[in-house]
Amino acid sequence: MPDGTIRKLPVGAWLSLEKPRLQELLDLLRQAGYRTIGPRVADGAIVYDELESVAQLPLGILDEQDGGQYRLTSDPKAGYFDHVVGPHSLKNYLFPPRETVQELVQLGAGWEPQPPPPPGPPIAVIGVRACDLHALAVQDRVFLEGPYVDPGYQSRRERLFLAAVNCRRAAATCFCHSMRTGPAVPSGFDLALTELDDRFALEIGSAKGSELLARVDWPPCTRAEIEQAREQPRNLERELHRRSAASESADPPRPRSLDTTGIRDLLLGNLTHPHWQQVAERCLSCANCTLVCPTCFCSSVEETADLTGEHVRRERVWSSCFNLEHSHLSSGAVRNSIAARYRQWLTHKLASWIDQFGTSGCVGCGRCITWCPVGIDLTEEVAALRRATEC
Amino acid sequence: MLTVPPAAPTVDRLNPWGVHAARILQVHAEIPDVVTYELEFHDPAVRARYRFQPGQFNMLYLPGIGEAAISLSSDPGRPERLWHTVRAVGNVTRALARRTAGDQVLVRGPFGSSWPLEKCRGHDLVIAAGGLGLAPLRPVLYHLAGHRSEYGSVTLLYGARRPRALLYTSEYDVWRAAGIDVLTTVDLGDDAWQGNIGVVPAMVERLPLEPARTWVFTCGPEIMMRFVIFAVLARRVSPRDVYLSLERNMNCAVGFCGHCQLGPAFICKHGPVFSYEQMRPYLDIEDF
Amino acid sequence: MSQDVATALRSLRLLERFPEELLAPLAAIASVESFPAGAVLFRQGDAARTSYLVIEGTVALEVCAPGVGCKRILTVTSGELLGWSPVLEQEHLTATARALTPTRAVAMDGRQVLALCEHNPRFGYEFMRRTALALARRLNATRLQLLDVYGPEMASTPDERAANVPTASLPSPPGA
Repeated sequence: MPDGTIRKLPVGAWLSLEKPRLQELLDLLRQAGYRTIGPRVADGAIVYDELESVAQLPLGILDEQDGGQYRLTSDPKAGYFDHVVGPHSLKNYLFPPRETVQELVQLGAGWEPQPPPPPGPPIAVIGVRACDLHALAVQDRVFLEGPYVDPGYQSRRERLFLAAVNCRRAAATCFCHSMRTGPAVPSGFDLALTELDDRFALEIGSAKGSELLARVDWPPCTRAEIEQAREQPRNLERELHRRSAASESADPPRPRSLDTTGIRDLLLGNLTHPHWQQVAERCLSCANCTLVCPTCFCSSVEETADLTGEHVRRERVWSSCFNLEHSHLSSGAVRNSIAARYRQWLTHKLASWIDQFGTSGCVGCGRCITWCPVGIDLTEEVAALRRATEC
Repeated sequence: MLTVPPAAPTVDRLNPWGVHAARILQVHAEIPDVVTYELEFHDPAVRARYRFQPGQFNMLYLPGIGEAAISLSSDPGRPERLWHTVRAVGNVTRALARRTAGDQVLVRGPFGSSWPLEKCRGHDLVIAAGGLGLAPLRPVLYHLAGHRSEYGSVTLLYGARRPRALLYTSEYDVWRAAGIDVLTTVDLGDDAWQGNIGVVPAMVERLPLEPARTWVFTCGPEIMMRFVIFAVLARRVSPRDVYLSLERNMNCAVGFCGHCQLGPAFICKHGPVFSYEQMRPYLDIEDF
Repeated sequence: MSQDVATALRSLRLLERFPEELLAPLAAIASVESFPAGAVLFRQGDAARTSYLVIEGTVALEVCAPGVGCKRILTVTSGELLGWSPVLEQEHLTATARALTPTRAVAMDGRQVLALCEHNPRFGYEFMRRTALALARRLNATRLQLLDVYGPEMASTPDERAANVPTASLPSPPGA
C-alpha cells in the first residue's frame, strides 16, 4: 500500500500492477473525487456503467460480434478486458443522450434565463479503447474546435480522466487497422493499461495520470514487461491486416476492412448511384447505427415544462439523420426516402466529415455493423459501391 | 474544406445556448399571415454590444414552445432595434403570431454568414428575391441605399405569387429614390395589377447586364434560386460572383446538432449565405 | 418605311445576332404598329394571322374560361415574341393580348413568314431557332408557376419541426 512518499512519475513511465491490486487504481480515482465508469455486463451486453469494484468488471467474458449479432460467452482464460466494444462509448458520458442546455423561470409576464447548474463530479472511464479515444478526438472537433464551444461538453471533457486499455483481441466487426485508429492506444490518455498474464503494464500518459499515481508503491515495469505490452497490440494489428487480406475460407471469421482510398470522392461523386436504393431495401431506418456510433453527434432540443408551467428546461436529446423529422422544413422533409437518409449518414460519416472536420467520422469500431438489426455492413456497402462504379 | 466564417460575435460570447430577453416594441402586419416584429433587448448592455451583418439570423425563442431561426431584416446600421419578418407556419411562429407589443421574446444570435457586401463593392449588383426571400435581403438594400456611391448599378428583381403577397411595398419608392432599380413581378395578376406577370428568372433573362462586373444575390424558394442562377450563368456571370441564401432545418444554429447539413456544409455555420461555386455540386441532388 | 422596320428589328433582343442579310426580307413583310394602353392586340380564339415582336411596352396575356373568368398569366415586354400561333401553323390564338402600357410592336403576317422560311431555309432556321428559344423560356417559366413555389416554404422562416422523438440510448441487442 502507499507508504506516503510522493514520487514524481514522468509521462511515459511504466508501472507494473498485479491483477489482484487493480482495485487500488479504482480506489485512487474514487478518492480523487471521480465518478468511476467502466465496462459491466447488463442486459446481455457489456456496457459502460458506474464501477465501484473491480469485481463488477467482465472478467472471463468475451463478446462475439458480427453483422446484426452480439453474444456474450465465458472463457476461463479471458482477462478483465478481453471483450471488445459494446453499444456504449465515451459519447454516452461526454455528450449524454439527454442534457439540459438552458433553464428558465417565469417571472411575471416574462421569463428569466437561469445560470447553468453546477457541473457534476468529474468522470473517470476505465477500459477505453483506441478507437474510442479517436472518436473522442473527433467529437472534440465538433464541440470544442469549431467556431463555437459547447460549454457542457467542454466542462466534462476538461475534467475527464481516461484509463485506456490496449486491445489484445478483436471482434469480427473491428476494422480499426483500416482506419488507423487502433488497436494500440495512441496518445490522448491519462493512463493506458495493457493486460498481461498476471498483471497490468500501466503507462502514464499525462500529468493528471502522473499525479494520481504519485503515492502508489507499484513497481516499475521490467524491460521485458514493457516490450511485451508494446508488442501485444502490434501483433494484433498485424494479425488484423493479415487475416482481413486473406481469403474468406482461410481463417474464419474474417475481420472487416475498409479501403479508404479516394473514399470522399467515391461517395460524393456517386450520390445518384442506384446502389443507395439497394441498401434502402434492407435498411429499416431504425437509427441504431447512429445511436451506437461513437462520433455521431446529431441532436434536437426539446422543451420540458413542469406542471405549473413556470419552469422550463431546454433539453438536448440525441437525434438521428435516419429520423424523417431530422430534415424537416415548413414545406416538408428534405430527405423523404430511406435511400436518401442512408446516403446522408454514410456520405457524412465517411466523406463530407472530411470536408467539415479534416478527419473521417468513422473510427472502425464496427458498432454500427453489430447493432444493425438487419446486419448492414458499411464496409461491404462501400466495397459494393466501389465495385459498381469501377466496372 | 468549406470555409467557416469566423464565429459571429453573438450576444452571449461564452455560451452559444445563452438566450437574452427582448421586448416586442411593435408588430407590423405585412401581408396575410406575415408580420414584422420589432424587438429590443431588455438589457442595455446587451443592446449596446449587439451587431449583425446582412444575411445573418437570430434564434427567436418562446419558452415551452421552442425556437425558430429567423433572418434579420432590419438596417445593420441600426442594430439597437431588430426587425424579424415571420410567416406563421410552424409551432413557434404560430405562437409568435399571438404575441403583441410589450410581450417578451428570447433571442440568441446573430448567427451565420452574410452577403459579401465588402467584396462586391464597385460592382453592379442584381438582387433576385422571391416571396419571403426578400426579408434576409432587406438589410442589403438598406446598406446599399446608405452607401449607394460605393456600388455600380443596383437592381432588385422581386417576385411573389400575387400582388398582395409582395412584401415591403411602401419602401420601393424609398429605394428607388436612393438609386436602386426596383422591378417587381407576380405569378398571377389581377385587374388592378399593371406590372409584370411571370417568374423572377424570366426577369433575369430580360435584364441588361455586364457579366464581368455583375454580382448576383438571390434568396427565395430553392427552385426559383436555381433558375435565377441558370439564367445569370447563361449570361456569363461567374459562379464565384453569385451568392444564394439556403434554408435547411436549423436547430442549434452553431453546427452542433447536424440537422441543417447539405453535403459538406452546415447551413447554420458555413451559411446560410454561400457562393454558388461552393454549393453547386449539392444543389441538384434529389432529397440530399 | 421598311427601313424603320429594319431598325426596329435590329434593336430586338430576340433577334440579337440575326444575320443582317436576312433582316431585309423580314422587314419587307413586317410593319410597326402602335397600341394605346388597354388596347387588345388579339383575342383568344381569333384566327391566327399576325405575330408580333414587341419594341416597347408591356402586354398582358390573359386566358379566359367559363366559371374561372379571365386570368392574367404572363406579361410580354420589349424584345420578345408575342403570339406564336401564326408562325407555327396554328389555326387559333390561345390567349388574349392586352396592352398594359402604350406599346409599339413589329407585326408580321404568319403565312408570309412561313413562306419566307420555306423559300429561304437559312432564314427559316435562324427565325425558328429564336422562336423555339422564346417558347422554351415560356415553358420553363410556366413550369415554375405550376410549382407554385411561394408556399409556406420561405427562406426567412427555417426551423420548425415536430419535436424529434429520441430513440432509447441503448438499442436492444439484436438476436441476443
